[in-house]
Amino acid sequence: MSSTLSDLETHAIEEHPEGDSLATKVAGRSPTQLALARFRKDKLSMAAFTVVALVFIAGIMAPFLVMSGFLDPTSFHNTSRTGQLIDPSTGLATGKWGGISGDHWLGVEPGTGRDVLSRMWYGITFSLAIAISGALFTVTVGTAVGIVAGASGGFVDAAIGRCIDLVLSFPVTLMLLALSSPGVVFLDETLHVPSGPNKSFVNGLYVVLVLGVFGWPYVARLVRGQVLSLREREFVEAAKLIGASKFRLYFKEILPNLWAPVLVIFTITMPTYVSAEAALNFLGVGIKPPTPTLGNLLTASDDYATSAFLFFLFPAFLIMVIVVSFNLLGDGIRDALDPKGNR
Amino acid sequence: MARITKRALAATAGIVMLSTTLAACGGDEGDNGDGPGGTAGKGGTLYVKAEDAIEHLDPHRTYIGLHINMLARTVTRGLLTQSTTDDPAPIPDIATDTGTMAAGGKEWSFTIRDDVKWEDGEAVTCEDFRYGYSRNFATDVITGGPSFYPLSFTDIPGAAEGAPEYSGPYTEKGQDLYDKAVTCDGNTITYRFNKSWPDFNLAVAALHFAAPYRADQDKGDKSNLEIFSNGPYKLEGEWDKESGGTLVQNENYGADDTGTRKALPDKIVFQLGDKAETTYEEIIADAGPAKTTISFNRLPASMFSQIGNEIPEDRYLNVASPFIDYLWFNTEKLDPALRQALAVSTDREAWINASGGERSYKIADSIINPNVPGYAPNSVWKDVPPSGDADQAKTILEDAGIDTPVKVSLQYPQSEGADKQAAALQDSWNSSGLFEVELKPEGDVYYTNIQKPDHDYEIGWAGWGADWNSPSTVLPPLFDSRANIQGGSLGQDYGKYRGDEFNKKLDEASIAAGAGDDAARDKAYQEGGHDPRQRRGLLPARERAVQLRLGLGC
Repeated sequence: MSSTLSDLETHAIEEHPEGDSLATKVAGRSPTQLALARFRKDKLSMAAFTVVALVFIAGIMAPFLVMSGFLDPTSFHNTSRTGQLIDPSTGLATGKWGGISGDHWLGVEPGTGRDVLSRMWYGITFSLAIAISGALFTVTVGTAVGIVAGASGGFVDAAIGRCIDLVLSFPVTLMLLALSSPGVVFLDETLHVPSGPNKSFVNGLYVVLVLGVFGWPYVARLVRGQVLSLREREFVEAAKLIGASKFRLYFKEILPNLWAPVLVIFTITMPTYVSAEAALNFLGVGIKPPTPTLGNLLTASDDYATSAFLFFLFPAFLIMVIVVSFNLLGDGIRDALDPKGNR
Repeated sequence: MARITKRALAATAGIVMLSTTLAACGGDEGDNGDGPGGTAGKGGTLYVKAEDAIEHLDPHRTYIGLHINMLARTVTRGLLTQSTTDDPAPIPDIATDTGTMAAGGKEWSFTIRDDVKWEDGEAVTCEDFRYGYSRNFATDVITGGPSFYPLSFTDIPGAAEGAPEYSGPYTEKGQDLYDKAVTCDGNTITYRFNKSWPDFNLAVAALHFAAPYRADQDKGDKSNLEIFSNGPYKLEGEWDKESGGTLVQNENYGADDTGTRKALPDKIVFQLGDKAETTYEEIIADAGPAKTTISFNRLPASMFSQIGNEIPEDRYLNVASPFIDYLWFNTEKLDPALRQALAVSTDREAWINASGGERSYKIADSIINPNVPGYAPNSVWKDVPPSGDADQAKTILEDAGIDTPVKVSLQYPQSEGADKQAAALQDSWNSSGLFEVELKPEGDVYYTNIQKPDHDYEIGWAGWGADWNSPSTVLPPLFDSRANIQGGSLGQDYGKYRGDEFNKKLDEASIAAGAGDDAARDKAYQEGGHDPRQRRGLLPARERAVQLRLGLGC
C-alpha cells in the first residue's frame, strides 16, 4: 500500500490508539478522513469554504461570461452614442444609488459609465490569479528552502538563516515602489516577457514576483521549524541508515509529512495577497485599468468615497468578504488537521 | 506653454495672477478680503499648495506657465510683463516702454529704467539683462527653459541651423559673437536676430528667457532652486525641492508701478506634496490656514458634484486656457485612410466625460485654441459628430481596401486619470467593430520616447498651449518638420509629419508677420492647417479649461 517508510510510520502511529476491539468498525479511517470529518463539523469553516468556492467559481466563469457578453467590463456609457448614464457636469451617475438599474445591478462607474458588477466580477479573476500565483511561488520556494535548511543543519542552515534575515530586513514596500517602473520595463524589454493586453500580464507578473521574492522567508522559517522535529523521527533515521540520497530524504521522506502545515500556510497567504494586491495597486504597482482587478477598482473608487459612496463600498466590501472567508477557511483547516493546536 | 507634463497646467494671457492680486485675508489683521475683483486687505499669509515638486526656480529654466505666472512673477521682473486682465497687450516692467522694433523685426531695443533694484539694493542694469539672455546658450547647464527661441532666433552663426557657435557665459566660447548680437549702449539693450521676430515683445512679456540675472549670483546648475529677487517678494531661508519654501516682502521693491503686483500678503508659503483632494477638502472645510490657501492643481473631477453644494458657485472659477489636447498618429506607419477613419470614429465626448466632463474640457475643432488670435474652426473637424461616426469610418476603410478589424495601439503616459481616458478611446474605436486597440501605458519615459526618431508608436496623446498670444507659437513648433526633426530628436513632431506644402505656408506666414500683416499671417496659417488632415495625422480633440478654486470667504 505504501511506497515510503514515512507512510508506514504515520499509519502505525494513527492506528494504534484506535484499539483492537474497535478496529473492525472504524477500520480505514485515515488522518485525512479524520481531518475532513472534523472540518465538516465546524459550521463556520464550512460557511467560509462555501464562500471561497463561490468566489473561485465566479473567478473561473468570469472570462467566459465576458466572452459571451453577459458581463461587459469595458463598455462606456457616457455619451449619446453609448447611452448617457453620466451627468457631464458632475461626472456622477444620472440614476439614483449610483445608477443601479436592471441593466447595471451595482450601478455604473462615475465618469465612464462602465458597469460596476462586471468590473468587480471580472476583477475577481485577475486578483485571484495574482494571489494564487504569488502564494504558490511563495510556498514552493519557502518550503524547498525550509526543508533544505532544517534537514541539513550546520553551515547550510546558518547561511540560509542569515539570508532569510537579510530578505526580511529589506524595506519591502519602498523597494517595490522604487523598482516597479524599471522592474516592469526590464521584464518587458530585456526579458521580452509577453506583455499581454494593456500590459496586464507583465504588470501582474511583477507583482507576483515581488510577493514571492519577499514572501518566501516567512514560509521557510515555519517549515524549517517543522523539519527540525521531523528529522529526528525514526523513519528519517531509517532512511538515512539504508543510505537514501539527500534528495530522497528531503522530498520523499520529509516533504509528504509537511503537507498539513504547508496547506495551512497557503490558505492563510492567499487572503494576505488579495489585500496586498489592492494595497500595491493603490500605490501604483500592478495591473492597470481598463483590465479590472479588485485593487484598481478600489483605487479608482477612493476619490468618490463621499460623492458616490456605493461605488466605493462595493469593491471594498467584496475584498473584505474574500479576505475574511479565506482567513476563516485557513483557520478551519488548521484546526481540523491539528485539533490540539492553539485555539 | 509647450508640453503639458503630467498635471502641470498653465495659461498665458487672460489668467488672473492670483499670487499677487489675491486678497490677503485671515491671518491676524485680515478681515475684508475675498477673491479677485473683491476688495483686498493687506497683510496675512497666502498658502499655495501643489501636488508635485517644482523643477526649476531659475528664471531661465522656468517654462511651465503656472510657475511663471503664479510664482516667478512675484520674484522676477523682466523687460515687459502681462496684464492681470484679459488684455493681451504687454506692459512695460523694467523697460521704459514696450520696445522698439527695427529692420523688419530683426532688431529690438529696450531702454532700462534705473530705479529698479535687486533684493540687495543694487540697481538692475542693462548688463544684467545681457548676461541673463546669454545663459540660454549654455544648453548643457540651463535646461528646461524656453531657450529654443533665443537659440534659433539670435543672430549668431549656426543659430538658424540649431547649433549656435556661442555656448554661454560659463565656457565663453564664441563670446565675441554674442557681444555683437546683443549689445548695451548706456541704458539701452539691443537684440539682433537672424530672422524676423515681430512678436518678440509678446514673447518676453509671457516667458522669462530674457529676464535679468546678476553674474555674481550665478552658480550654474546650483542656482536652479535659488531665488535672487528684484520683485515684491524674496525667499526666506532655503527652498526645498520636495516641500517648498516661504516668500516674504522684499524691502527693496518700490511701489507697484505696473499695476500687476499689488503684493498684499506679508508672506506667501509654498507647500508641496499634498494630494489635490486633501488640499481641496481642507479648503472646503475652511478653517485655519485653509482660509487663505490656493492650489496649483485643478479641482479633482471626483469633487465636481460638490460645486453648488459644499463649494459655493461664486467661489469656483473656470477659465479657458490656451491648451489643446490632441492625438497624433504615426504618419510613417499608419495609412492615411486608416488615420482618417480612426479620427472620424473617435468618441471625443466619451473621452471628455471620462476626464471630468464639461467642466474640464470642450470639444476642439482646431489645433489652435480659440483664445489665440488666428484661430478659425477647421472644417475638417467641425462636421465630425462629437461622439464619432462609425459609418463614415467604415466607408473610408472600405474605399481604401483596408481589411477590418485593424490592429492598432495607443501609447500614453500612465496615471489614474489617463487610464480612464485611454480606455474611453479604446472603447470608442473597438465598439465600431473596425479596430482592435491595444493600450500601452508608459511612465514618464513616454515624453522622451515619443521624441525618438525611430519610435514605432502608432497613436499617442499630446497637449500644447501657445507660448504667447500668437499662432506662430503653435503650428511651427508642433509641425514644422525642418525645425523639429533634426539631430537625434523629433522635437514636437511626434507623428513624424513632413509636409512640404505645409512648411511653405509656414514660411509665408512668417514673412507676412515680419511685414506686420497679421491678417495675411493668420490666413497662411489657416490654409496650412486646413491641409487635408489625413496627411497631418492629427486629431485636435479638446480644449482644456483651467479651474481655480480659491479659499472660501473669510
